[in-house]
Amino acid sequence: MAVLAGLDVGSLLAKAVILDEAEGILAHSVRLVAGNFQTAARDVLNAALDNCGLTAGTVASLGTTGLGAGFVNGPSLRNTEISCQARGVHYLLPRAGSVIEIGDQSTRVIRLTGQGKVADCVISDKCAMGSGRVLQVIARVLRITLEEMGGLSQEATRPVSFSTGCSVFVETEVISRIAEGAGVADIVGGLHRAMAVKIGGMADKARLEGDIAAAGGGACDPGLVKMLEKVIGQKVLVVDRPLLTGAVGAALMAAESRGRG
Amino acid sequence: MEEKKKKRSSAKTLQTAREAGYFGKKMLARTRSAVEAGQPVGWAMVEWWLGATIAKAMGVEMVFPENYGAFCAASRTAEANLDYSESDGFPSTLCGYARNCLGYTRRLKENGFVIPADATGGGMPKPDFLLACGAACDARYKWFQALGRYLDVPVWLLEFPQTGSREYFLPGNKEENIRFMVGELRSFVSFLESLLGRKMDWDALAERLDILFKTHALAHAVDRLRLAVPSPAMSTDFWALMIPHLYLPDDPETLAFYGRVYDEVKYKVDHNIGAVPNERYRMMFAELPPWHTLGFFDEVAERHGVAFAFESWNYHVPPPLPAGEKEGIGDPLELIARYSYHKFHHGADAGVKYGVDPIIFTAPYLEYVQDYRIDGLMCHPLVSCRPATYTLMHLRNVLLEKFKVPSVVVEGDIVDMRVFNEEEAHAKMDAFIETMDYHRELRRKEGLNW
Ligand code: SF4
Repeated sequence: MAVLAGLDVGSLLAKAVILDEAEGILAHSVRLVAGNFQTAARDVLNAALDNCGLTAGTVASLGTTGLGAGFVNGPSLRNTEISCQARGVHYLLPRAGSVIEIGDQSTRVIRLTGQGKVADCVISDKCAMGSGRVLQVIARVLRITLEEMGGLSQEATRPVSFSTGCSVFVETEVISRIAEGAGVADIVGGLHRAMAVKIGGMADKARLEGDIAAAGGGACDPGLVKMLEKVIGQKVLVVDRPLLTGAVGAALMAAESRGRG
Repeated sequence: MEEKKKKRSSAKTLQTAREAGYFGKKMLARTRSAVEAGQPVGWAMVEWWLGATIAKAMGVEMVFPENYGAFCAASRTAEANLDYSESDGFPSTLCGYARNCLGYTRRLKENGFVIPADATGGGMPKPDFLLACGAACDARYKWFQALGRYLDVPVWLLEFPQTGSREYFLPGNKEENIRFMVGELRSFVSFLESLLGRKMDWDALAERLDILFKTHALAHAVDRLRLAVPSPAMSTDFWALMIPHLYLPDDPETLAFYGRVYDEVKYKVDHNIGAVPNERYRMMFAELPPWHTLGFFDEVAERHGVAFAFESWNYHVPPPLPAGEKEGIGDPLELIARYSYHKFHHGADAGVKYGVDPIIFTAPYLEYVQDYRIDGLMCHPLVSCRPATYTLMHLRNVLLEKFKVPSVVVEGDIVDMRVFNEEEAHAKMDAFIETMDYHRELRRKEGLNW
């Protein structure tokens, strides 16, 4: 049996999927990059293959994407993260007309064509305030886990209002607010609101259409998703397995180009 | 990785473009020789052909710190000047050209006004006066004033009236502006006469203007040749070729050079030779380029078959003055005023037709996009330049709405390469190819013919 494989090697996590064109996702694996793209890419792919009892010999094509895609050994087809996210979300949630992908390094807001291609796209600027990185920074300051953030945010009664759009200053501001006695829930709620406003501005620029899907690590945070819905004024659908969209797209794009070739 | 870092200038596709850098070096060398010969020297802002030609007609050699900033950036030597200006308190959000100039001038002063031996391109000598211009931008009002920290020389500021699209057509508005500009120019001539202790040489000015108009006519004809598909030249060619027409338009050598540029581009058009083999997309660039990384455009061309077919309204010569406007004008200052005003307002018709303002940096693009059959716009918002940035999002929306032409936004700076992320720029371009394909389909459906 010949299968498609996709690898998304991000700054924080490496993700692999094994796909069968008829049957869908057969297996996947996610692991920390931990400073070594090459090892992470190799291990995560092997783990995904193991999970469905297949070997590397059964892979008809391997698509790669992400910051560390250049470190993948062996023949593969590298594609831009934006296009892979678009294809991946279209595959997993065909009704989506737009995607908000909140990654560790940046956030991408993509308007999709009917075929899951990129009709328009806006990427967050270099500031970590628009990406998942700020969530990690503040979670560390508050000594909570990322998983706890979603629930806490929804308990906020008076979300803190941050006076800056910069992640470095937000960190200092959080420390000041703690000293002033602000509750953790209100701080997390305020952070989610600040991020949602920033992402909402990008959504405006990209003129999102149709159903909006959320993907990436940020989509795993229900507090952030709720806040996004409030800011954008529309339901945001979280893609099933939101961490895998890039890898799925990479697998599909490699297959596409094999078909063309 | 090291290898990659080295190759950042563009290879350019025209032979004449590869030769054009000579004019920048010539300009710098001429000012240094003038100082040695005891002749006056001035530093000027790009002021759209008003003052520098007048000063040159009075025997002053002129050099342009904006051009020098681009030169330093292209040779990747600007950082030291930027850091040096920042360490004297100028913020990193100030215009990159200004910071480069302020840092350079601080070093010049500290070296007793002897040009530092390692100065890029041999350096700019100490000027006898500074010619500033308020056109387009706020930084340009203050930058030469701020040079007073290091230079004790007079600053002359040429004011430049700019009008909105609809206001342009108000009865009497244009003529009133022209009168104002002629008055400004007369005061400038008086200033120069008293500074230099000599009278204006009106014949020399008329001669220079004659060469300038001929050079610009050729430069405009080259722009029109670029309408051809495939595109005979790239934006990277233009950004080299603009040096002579922008800074030395009144020099006979420039005129002869532009004859060769025209011939080279015409040959390519006649023989259907594209700048990019297998041109697949035609893009336009707005507005000021990342001088430090022009090789980026070569890579985009190579990877995707993208020809950057047109660019940078700011640097292009305007269409020739309508014949009726030139006729019977005996005063060269009025001729200059009319021509300069025309440069800033030739997009007024398009501005009114499409309901956009300001005319500068916006309206002309609405014509370019159709004339040059553009598939996509690359917007380059600059951290340090408001005038060439604040119009971009508006332009992006208008092009999409009216012509179904999408844009890709790549942030950066003209001089400061620390704020340009090339990897990210490529990632955006890679994805933008799909976006252009999609909008091509949309244009077809809407009956737009490209
Ligand atoms: S227009 Fe921009 S680049 Fe030119 S002088 Fe002003 S701030 Fe600098």
